[in-house]
Amino acid sequence: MEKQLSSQQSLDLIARTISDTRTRLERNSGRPFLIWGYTVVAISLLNYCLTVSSGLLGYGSWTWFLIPVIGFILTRIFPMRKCNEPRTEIDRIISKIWLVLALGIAPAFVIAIFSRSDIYGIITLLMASGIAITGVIVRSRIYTLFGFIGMGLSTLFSIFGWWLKNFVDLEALVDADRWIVCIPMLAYALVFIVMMVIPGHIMNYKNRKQCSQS
Amino acid sequence: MFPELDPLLHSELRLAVMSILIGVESADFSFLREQTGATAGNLSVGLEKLAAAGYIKIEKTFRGKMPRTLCRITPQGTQAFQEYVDVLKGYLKI
Repeated sequence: MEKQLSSQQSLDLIARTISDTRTRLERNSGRPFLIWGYTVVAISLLNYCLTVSSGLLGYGSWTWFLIPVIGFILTRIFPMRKCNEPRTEIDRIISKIWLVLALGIAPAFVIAIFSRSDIYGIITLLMASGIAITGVIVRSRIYTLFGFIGMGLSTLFSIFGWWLKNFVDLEALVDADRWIVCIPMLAYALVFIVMMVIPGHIMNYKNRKQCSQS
Repeated sequence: MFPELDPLLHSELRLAVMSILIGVESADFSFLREQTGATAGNLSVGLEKLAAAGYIKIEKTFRGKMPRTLCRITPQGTQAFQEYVDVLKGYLKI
């Protein structure tokens, strides 16, 4: 005998089921932010160490390409969902947005090379925009806020470049002072901690707390 | 005079299945079972009824060597669900 429901019970069941499914699927929603955030931080610090220790600026250039490789591998090893968990329409939209933004990095590199503009600032702005867009779509104040903070921080790289150009005599720098020129690498790591790692941990903590309550 | 509630959706298990499927691209059998807490037999019967009415589409696929049953809501199912919710709201004067 099938269980029949009153009108109120039906509405409650619909609301509860939708909410439970959403809570379960959002359990590890911070994971991609943590994977990509920590990868960028690690590679930035590696590049900083390589550049400072070798005394050659740009030594670490090719190691930047480890970011997509390591990020992709870690995403496969630690997926956001168990293999039987479905994708929502929002997931699909967000994954397409990030795909477009990731593809945008290639022309950003070309622009940075030919216009001698600041690649750190451009990529930070791209990624921060992705975080803010994600936040707006999933209605997460945390992602939106940290995305906009990241957008603000992306301007620091240009300001630093301007300061370097106008107030530092690069020719006069001795080898021991060359680390000054590498400051953007450290700043880049710091900005990614602020705009990806911190919100990723906050989201995971919040979602796990919500899951344990439901 | 209120219109009648769709009898196919007015059962706890089938309504729960439709509520899950309305928010995802597709869901596999094991996920639906975990979320609804239903037995495999009851869920199979419920899914067959929904599929027979054209509310959901069932695909039998494989993940590696393991068989997989994927369910997704159809436009007809989405419309039926929407109408069901509208009628409920009418009953409850929401």
